[in-house]
Amino acid sequence: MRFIMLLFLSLGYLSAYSYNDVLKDYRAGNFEKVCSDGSFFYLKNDKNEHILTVIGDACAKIDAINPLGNIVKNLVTTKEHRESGSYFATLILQKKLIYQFMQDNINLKELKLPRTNHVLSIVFENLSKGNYEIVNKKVQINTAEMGYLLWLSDDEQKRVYIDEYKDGKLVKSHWYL
Amino acid sequence: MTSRRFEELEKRALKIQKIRIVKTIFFAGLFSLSLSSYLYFSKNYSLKITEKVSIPQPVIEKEPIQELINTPLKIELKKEEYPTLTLSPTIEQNASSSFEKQQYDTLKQIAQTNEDKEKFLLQNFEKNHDFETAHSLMLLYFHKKHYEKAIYWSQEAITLNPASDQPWIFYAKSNFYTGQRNEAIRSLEIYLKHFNTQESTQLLNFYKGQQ
Repeated sequence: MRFIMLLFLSLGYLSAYSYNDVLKDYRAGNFEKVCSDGSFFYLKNDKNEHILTVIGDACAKIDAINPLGNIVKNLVTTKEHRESGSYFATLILQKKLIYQFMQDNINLKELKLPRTNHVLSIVFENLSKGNYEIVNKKVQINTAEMGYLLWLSDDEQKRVYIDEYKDGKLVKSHWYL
Repeated sequence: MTSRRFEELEKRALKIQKIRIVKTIFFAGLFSLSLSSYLYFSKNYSLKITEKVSIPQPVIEKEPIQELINTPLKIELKKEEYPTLTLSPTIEQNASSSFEKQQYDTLKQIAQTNEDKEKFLLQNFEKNHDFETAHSLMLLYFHKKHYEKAIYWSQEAITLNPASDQPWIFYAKSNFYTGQRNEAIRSLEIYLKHFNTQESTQLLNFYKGQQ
């Protein structure tokens, strides 16, 4: 009986956001909620790699690349999770290199990194191949499917904007810091 | 001895000397003749061999030096082409394991999402305060995913019957689903110190494997 009382007394804070909620919101496409509320899991160093991968992918989809650094370190046990870890690490590196390129004009030519479907990887690959033009301090990339425009904001802490164009129309705008 | 005798001896000595000289010349001549004949014949033999075997001389085409200077050195480097590594995150759409799914299906058969049943059970517990009612309420709320209530009723059921493993198991599961994995593991460890069931052991191993 004493053990049971101790058990009940030792109940901790119950999280309102559970694993099932993470998966449910991910399937529903609520990526912002998954990324923001899911921070509870990776900040407390949760080791559930499937949930971490889901949260990481949701963050990547909404251009929240910085949290991926916390997620990557626990993706180690299976081949699929290791690939997911490398995927997130690749996005972090590509974001930093693109930022450096826009700010400091570093040479990205012949730099080869893994290829992904993320806009950062597409832009990076074109920059490394030299497939871009500089027009009015903005970097223009044209591919068969889409057009991309990279530019720096005028803020004190400059942001890199990547605008996606299709048939001349702005489809989506991303920004990274 | 007379002078005549000396003359004869002298003549004889001269004669012997002459014979010796002739002999020396003869043998020297014979030696030189044999040597020269040997040399002569051996030379002829080697000459015959060289006549039979002719070693072809290499033919070197001499290009003009000027052409060599003018022609650029062409080095074709083969670019080793390796496929670029492509990465993508692996997201499993169906996250529930077979173990949990089995438990959930069993639970679905047991508990019914019936509001009347909830009222009935609550009223019954107020009257009888028994383990079976608490157990049924625990299952009912767990099935409805009201995990906080499921935790409460699992505690009630444990208090009434600590030896039963089901309330411990659902207490652990409810904690797990609300993100309290450590609490879920601790409760199962406490139970397994005093009792031992296969289902609780399996669940504990499963939760520990999630770490």
